[in-house]
Amino acid sequence: MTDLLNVDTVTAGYGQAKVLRGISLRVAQGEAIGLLGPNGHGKTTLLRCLSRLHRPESGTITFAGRDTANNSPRDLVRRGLIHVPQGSRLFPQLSVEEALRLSAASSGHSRSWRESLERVYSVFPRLKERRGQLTGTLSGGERQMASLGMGLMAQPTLLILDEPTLGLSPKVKHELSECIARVRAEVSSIILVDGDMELVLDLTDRYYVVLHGDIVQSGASDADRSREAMMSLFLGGAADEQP
Amino acid sequence: MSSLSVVLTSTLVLGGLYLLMAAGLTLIWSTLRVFNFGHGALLMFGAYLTWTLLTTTGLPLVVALIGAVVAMAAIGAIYEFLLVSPFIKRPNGDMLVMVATLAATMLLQSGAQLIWGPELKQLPPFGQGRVEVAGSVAQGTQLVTIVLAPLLVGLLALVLKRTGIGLTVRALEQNREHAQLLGIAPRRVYLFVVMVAVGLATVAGALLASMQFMTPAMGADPLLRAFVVLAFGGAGSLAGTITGAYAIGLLEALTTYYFGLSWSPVLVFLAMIIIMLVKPEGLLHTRVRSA
Repeated sequence: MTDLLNVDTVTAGYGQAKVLRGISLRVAQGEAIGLLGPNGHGKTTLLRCLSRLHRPESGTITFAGRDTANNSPRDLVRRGLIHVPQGSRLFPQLSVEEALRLSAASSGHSRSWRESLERVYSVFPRLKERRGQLTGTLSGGERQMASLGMGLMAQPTLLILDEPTLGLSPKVKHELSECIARVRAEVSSIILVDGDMELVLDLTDRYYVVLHGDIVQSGASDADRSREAMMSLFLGGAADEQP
Repeated sequence: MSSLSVVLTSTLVLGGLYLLMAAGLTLIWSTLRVFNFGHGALLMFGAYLTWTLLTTTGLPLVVALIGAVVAMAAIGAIYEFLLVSPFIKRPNGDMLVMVATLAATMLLQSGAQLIWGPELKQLPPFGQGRVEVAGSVAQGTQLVTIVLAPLLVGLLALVLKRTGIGLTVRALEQNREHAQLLGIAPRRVYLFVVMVAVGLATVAGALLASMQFMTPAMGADPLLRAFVVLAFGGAGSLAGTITGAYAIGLLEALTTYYFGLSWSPVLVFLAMIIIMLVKPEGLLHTRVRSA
């Protein structure tokens, strides 16, 4: 199976602060990948490098067989790499439908936006109810749905979701995880980052644990799910880092 | 003519001119997060260009103005290319761009002095129409300004509300980073916004040059007033800008009428200082809650 995405020893940071220290990972065509690990260890920075919002210092990122070094975020969107950012406040003054239409148009799919819209509304019936409402007035869960819906409107080959359940109540989180499962069925490949480890392992095929800007562990998501194994994902990895 | 009617005409004319200036500045501010100090000089350049087209080709004034708007939009594109895009992505890019636009002001003013010389020039009136409503008289260029300014800015509002490019502009205003992740190229939006803003300033310049003499420094005053309008209405909202433009026009007309021309700027800026002290986000600005 060929890799859809290949990240090879990428380093990145902000000025003096080094965030990614030679991280490598791969996503095969049709695969759902989970990224786990505590906050502040480089998951979001990695995603920003993937969509070229942030420029890596070294290493290569290959998407669909081509190096992305000279791509702009717009180039990658047009090639099907769609990054749904973290904790999105979205576009407070755009209506839900405007935001969805915008995502189709700006990713180069303005012709088929109506079909995409029907598809998104069937995945998220709630968005259809809220279609005329300004996204700034939506609840946190609905805003996440709108974000995911916008991702779908761009017809992704690789959909990157950064903390889609951040700050949601357990009930809403449960509802949203069902939405993500439905999104999963619509999209070939996904990278999912979330603080809820069980949710990530439920929805993905493989996982990586990111710690101090590098991968410390990886494996199949349906492997040993005992409490001890889950704890060791974090604590075991963290223990390795201690001097 | 009663005092009230003089003030009313003057409010609508001044308000219209400030509106044409401030709408462009608001558009630039809300997308680029930059105050374009070159806007007054661009207004002046547009006025002179209209005069050149008028005198060298013998075209009707309106056609000359349309030609100047097109030419100035192209100059706006060059302006964006030379002064905005090389700097905007750097750290503190907004500061660099603002300094660059200040430099552009000097360049354009000296350039105009070199090209067109120091002789006084004026454009003929736009039309001979005369309208009298309840004792207020507006004629010629005044009348055109009163009608054209809100018409053009209304058209701009419609474009922003209804068209694809308008949606793109609004998205970039509201969330630049997420807009990029949707595939919006900020450069294209900046280019569009600067060209539209410069076009509107050119119209303002030609109208102004038809009511008073042109000088290379003629843009300085409207620029300052437009700045007050932005402070008043809250930069970034077109509705606020429209209200602000006419409010400042009214304030200026009233103070000119009752206290005299020399006191008017003092009182206008006093009003701005008070607004900035009391409500720095603009009188009409309502914050959007970002939960």
